[in-house]
Amino acid sequence: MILHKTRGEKVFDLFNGILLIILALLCILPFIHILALSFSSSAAATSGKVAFWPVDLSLNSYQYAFQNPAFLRAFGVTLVRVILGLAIDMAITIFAAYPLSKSNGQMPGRTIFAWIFVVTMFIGGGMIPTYMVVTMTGLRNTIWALILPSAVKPFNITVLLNFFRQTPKELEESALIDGASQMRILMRIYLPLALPALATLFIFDTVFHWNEWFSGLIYMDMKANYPLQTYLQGVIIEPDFTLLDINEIELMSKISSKTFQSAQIMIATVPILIVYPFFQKYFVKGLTLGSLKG
Amino acid sequence: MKTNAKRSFGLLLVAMMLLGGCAGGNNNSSSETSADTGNTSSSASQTAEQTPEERQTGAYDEPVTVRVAIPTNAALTFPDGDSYSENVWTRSLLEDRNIDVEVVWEAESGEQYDTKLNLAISSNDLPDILNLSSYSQFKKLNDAGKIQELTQYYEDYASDYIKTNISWDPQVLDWGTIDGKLMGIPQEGVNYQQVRMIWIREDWLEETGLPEPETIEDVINIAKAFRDADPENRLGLAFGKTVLGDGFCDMTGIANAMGAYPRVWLEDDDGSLIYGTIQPEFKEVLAVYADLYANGYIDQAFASLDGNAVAEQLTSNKIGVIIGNSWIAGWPLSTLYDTDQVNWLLYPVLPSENLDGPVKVQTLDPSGKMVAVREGYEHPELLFKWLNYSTAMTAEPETAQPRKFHSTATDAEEQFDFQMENPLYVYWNDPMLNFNSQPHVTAAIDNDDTSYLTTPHDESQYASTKRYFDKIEAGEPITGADWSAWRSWYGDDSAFGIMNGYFANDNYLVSKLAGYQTDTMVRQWGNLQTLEEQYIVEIISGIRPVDDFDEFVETWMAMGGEQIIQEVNEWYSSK
Repeated sequence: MILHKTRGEKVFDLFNGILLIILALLCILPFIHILALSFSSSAAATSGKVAFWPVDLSLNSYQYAFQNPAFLRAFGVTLVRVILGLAIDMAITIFAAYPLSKSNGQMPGRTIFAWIFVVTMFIGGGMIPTYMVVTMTGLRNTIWALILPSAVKPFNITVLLNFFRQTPKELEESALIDGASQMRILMRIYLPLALPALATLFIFDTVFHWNEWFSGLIYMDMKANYPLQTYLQGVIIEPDFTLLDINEIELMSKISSKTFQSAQIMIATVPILIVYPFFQKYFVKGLTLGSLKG
Repeated sequence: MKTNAKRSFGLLLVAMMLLGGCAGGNNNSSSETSADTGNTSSSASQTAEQTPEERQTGAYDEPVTVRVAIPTNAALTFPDGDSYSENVWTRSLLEDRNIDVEVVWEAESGEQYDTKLNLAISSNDLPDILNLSSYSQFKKLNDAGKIQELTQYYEDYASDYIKTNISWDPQVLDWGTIDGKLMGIPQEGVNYQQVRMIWIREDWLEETGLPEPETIEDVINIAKAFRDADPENRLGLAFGKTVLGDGFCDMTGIANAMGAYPRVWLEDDDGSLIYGTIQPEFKEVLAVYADLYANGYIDQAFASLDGNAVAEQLTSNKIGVIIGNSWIAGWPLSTLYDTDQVNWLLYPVLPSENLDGPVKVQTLDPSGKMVAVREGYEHPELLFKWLNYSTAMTAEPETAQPRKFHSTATDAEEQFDFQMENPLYVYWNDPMLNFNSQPHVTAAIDNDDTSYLTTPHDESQYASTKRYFDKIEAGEPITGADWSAWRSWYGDDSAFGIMNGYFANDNYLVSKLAGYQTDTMVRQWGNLQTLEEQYIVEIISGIRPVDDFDEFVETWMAMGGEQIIQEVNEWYSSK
């Protein structure tokens, strides 16, 4: 079928296309700029000669980044955090969402429990009380301080809960008649059917743990325990010139090497970029299926 | 089922409370025991028995633990296996003084450190020695009764060397004194090194054929000529968003040349203190900058440029005139030397044609960084023992071991700044150390005689300056670092030469308030500075006419300025 567009529609399409291209460029150009910087020589970068293509191609900064123990250690901390955090967050999300997706008849007190979760999305204890709880429970300076305080994610639970509710009740009823336990019903029927939603939450959670830096700063006393983004934040932030003495200025000129910073940013971004395409197909579908129809 | 769920929820709550309570209790008791084991002998009885010498440089009988937090510098490199918590300083302090340094936490200096410190303050978990990054933090802790008085400990335990250097500038101890009690020690005195001088690109000046400048108007004309020669690629003056005070792209230099002293508290003819930014002289400076902006001689986007962005303009050959501090030789000018071998000529701040009397150049106010001791810590004197040790090992001629404690280069590749590894990075060294090195290095090179060098500091600056001359002789390429050493230390027209000239001609102007802040300042100063910057940026960029300066002064007064002027004068007259 051929659609005949009016002149107005064609003009609209043209402008729409141009606008979207500009928006896309706004997002991608800074990224390309940093990529180009990371592959350029230090001198070319500091004199502002690099735009979107490397000048004096050089791999020095990547070599330096991979030899930098602080960077590698932070990378390791983040990897552990993502793996542990994902496992715990997903387990909690699933086991909280499943019972809450049942009716009040099947799961007494369901509404109250649901509210207990939802309330925390709007009201929090604040930074200092949370900090003191983490300190007094002895979590500070352990990897658990980065994982446990944020392990219950009400938003994710709500998304999954709504998704579970889409699953036809008849499936559960027939499984019950066949003698299946609730655990078995969850594992064999609900989870496989909720794959799109799970993939979406998986991405959300990975990105969250990968990018979150503030809890690393407040709960870790030693920089050796910093996750990657906390480490990067300390390295990249602009120093206050008025407070530097001559020794510090000299040192700064070494580390403020733009190419080195860019290389570290690239290395920190690539893993998350790789994860995206694999889950892309679930990503859009999962969210709409779960929340909109719910 | 319903009751079951309720019961288990209740149990869960109880369990959580117990857990929290137990863990908290354990924590408290463990920190108490560690503090107890730290002090077996009481310090009061020690004072009575010991000679001043023993008090200042003697070791404790038993190891004494001190808990510190460290503002770190990500660029600092350590020898293999070392860190801020374990390095030449912590090992030697334990060995020589029986001081056991325990680093309770570290964070990158600046925002990250302040966040952690504020957390520690709110959760009442302070280190024993407090490294405070602002004067308002110091005042707040004092008002909350969280730090202890140091008057007597300073008297008894600070070494003569340190006392001489601290009281070299009589204001310094005043800043740490609240209600007649010494509550903290400033980390630094007046920054005589943070003062403006004029830097002009040699190659461009030759190209334009203009004579060397004699007044600030000449300098401005040179900047204009540089741009006029290539308006496509060049800007006139270096200028960025930090309009007052970042030391290399602000208005301070030209203001000083015209007799205006923004952000300085100066003595009026009648002996009272007045604030520099709101004086009529500063209005004229604004007019000059508004004119430069309107004619395109400063970047039209200056209000969005931070220091790094201006540095980038410099290194990409866009700027030929800077009125900035001595350290720009090390960065970013040395980078430009590395890529394009650009030499810069140096002049002191030259007076305006309309200025009566000599030029006064204003110094940077001290940062307000303080060190203090937590209330309740049993060994407040330890702070001074530590400060004594730091200067003794790095600066005092008889005891210094610079290779071990100051800095050393293992080979051409790696340089270790041991002095910066010190968990208490505060040195009350001779304030004139850098300034004295310049004539020494110059004489040693001119006469080829190293006997002019008297301190370890002289020697290390001589070595790097000598390299510049050696390379010229050998016809080897000169690096930015060589150039920057030569530009800093050799001759009267070097950076330190010019500053020595400021001393000799009495050009320095130090704010009378410097490191001190009044009560209203602690609350309101940040807002007033923002107001200042906002008006300055808007007037320069033509959004407001220059006459709106009067409106600014009124608003400034109304927003607490008047109150502050009163408080400052009360404080000043009570001294």
